[in-house]
Amino acid sequence: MEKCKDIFRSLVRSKTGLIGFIIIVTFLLVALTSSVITPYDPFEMVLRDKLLPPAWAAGGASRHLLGTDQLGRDLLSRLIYGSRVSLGVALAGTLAAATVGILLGALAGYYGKMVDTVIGRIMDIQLSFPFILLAIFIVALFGSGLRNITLVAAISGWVRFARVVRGEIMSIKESEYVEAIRSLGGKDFRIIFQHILPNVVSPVIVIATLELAKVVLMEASLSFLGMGLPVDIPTWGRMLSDSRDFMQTAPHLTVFPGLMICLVVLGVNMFGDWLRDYLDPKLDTNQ
Amino acid sequence: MSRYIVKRMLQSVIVLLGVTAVVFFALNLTGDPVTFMFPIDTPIEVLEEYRATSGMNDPKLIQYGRFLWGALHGDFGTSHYYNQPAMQVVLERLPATFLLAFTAFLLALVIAIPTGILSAVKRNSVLDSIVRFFSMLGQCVPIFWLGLLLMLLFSVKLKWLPTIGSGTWKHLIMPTLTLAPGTAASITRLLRSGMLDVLGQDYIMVARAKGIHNGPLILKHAFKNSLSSVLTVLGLQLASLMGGSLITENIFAWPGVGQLMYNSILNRDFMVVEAGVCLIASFFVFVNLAVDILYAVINPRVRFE
Repeated sequence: MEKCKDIFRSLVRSKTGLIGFIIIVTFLLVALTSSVITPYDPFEMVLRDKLLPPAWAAGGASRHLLGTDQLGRDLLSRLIYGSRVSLGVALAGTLAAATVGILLGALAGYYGKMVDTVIGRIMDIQLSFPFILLAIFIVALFGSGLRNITLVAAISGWVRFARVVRGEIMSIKESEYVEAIRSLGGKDFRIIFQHILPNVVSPVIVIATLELAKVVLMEASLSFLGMGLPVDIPTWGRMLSDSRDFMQTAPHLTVFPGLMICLVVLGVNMFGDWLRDYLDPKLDTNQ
Repeated sequence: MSRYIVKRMLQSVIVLLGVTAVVFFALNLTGDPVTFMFPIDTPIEVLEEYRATSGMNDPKLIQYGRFLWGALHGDFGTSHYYNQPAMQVVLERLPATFLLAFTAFLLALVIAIPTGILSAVKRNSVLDSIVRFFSMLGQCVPIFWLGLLLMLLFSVKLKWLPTIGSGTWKHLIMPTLTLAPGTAASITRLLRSGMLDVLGQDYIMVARAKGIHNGPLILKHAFKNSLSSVLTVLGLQLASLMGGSLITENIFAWPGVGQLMYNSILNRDFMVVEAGVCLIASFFVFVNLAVDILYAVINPRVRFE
């Protein structure tokens, strides 16, 4: 209870952290209740109402707060539905990246020598691809869709986890308590998972938070390039991409989806920065 | 020092081998690479003949060896779309991408160096808050959105700049403005924290006590030393610029490697994709190698790790 109060106090003191937290919570609530709170069916086309500007602009209709798109679909509803897609991909992608990264990082840090060298070189190879190139390469070869987007997220994100976990484990594995467990006959597997990994929870949480933002951006970029999720699913990136044909007549279609991506990424990063300062101030998250 | 350089170069060679292996085997993992090399409607007899004449029925390792040998000579096969050697197609597009990436990189440095220094020196001032806000924002705004917003403003509303294409300096403005802010934001943040670290050191206090003026103190003593923290990331930043140019080129129809990669993937012109991926990846490896060697020159402690 004291701990909760302490966290809360620190969060309120850091204004940016609090703003980020509020943005994340709002985003989560909107995504989770999206099927209830959307004013219209995000797939319903009313061609009579196509390309309506937002309600406050000249020619806007009050029934469509943020206007409509080229097929007369309600923009607000589509944005709300898009948050669900974005959140789902972000969670799946981060989880996949964290799993791979923690596992390989732990192996490299614990066993050192050859294992470390091999995993280290794989990291170097991975880092020498610009991630968006890697992403479209994978999508082009294996096809798009949620599963492959998650795969892309895992491949482009695992290094950040692996690096931190490896470093932490290298410093912990020499400590006396690990030595003690080993001399009592503890197996490697058990030492790593039960005794060492719990120590890296806080840096992993920080990296995971910042990774969420990266995956949101990645999915949006891929969808923007037409290589993300299937065409019929409304995603923010795809909506932006489609808006290019209507820039002259309907600039609101360009402004709002981008604003959503921006807001979510900003919120997650602000919260992530606070979280790092609170949990693990020495952690280097610049790369 | 030379031992360190040799060790680092060997590492780079291994990484490059890895890159070619990834490119080669990824293409083979998907099943039949021959189907990727020709348009979808190619008759089966043509595919069969190609398979037989080009050694596609050999064991994969032998094929990889052949691919590697070709890659070493810059030979990635012939692009079926352009009917030219794949590497040549990529190289023709390279200058445009370099122009864009380096202009953006320069602009980013011009913005980031003064703002990074100022916001560290005037820590917690209004200026610092503004710089921090913008550098946060710069890392969050998706570049494709920024590109579209610039287009809305400068082409659609103000009609000052051409929307897409290349050729004049006017065409370069919007892609540069799209690419630079993200990089500028990262460098500003890094430089600020590097400067803050250095400014807190004892020797700065000593220098100040000796009566060295603020100007020389900041530039000569603090900025120079904080550069090492920025340098290591510059290579990665250049990397992300090349990646970012892929999207930017696509938005503004800028005829660079990024746009070529994208179109080649859509055209299933995988020879060009392989050549491009290998070329860009080796560019990174060399940039990172150069950065690491430079870093070892500046900071001798690294050489002995």
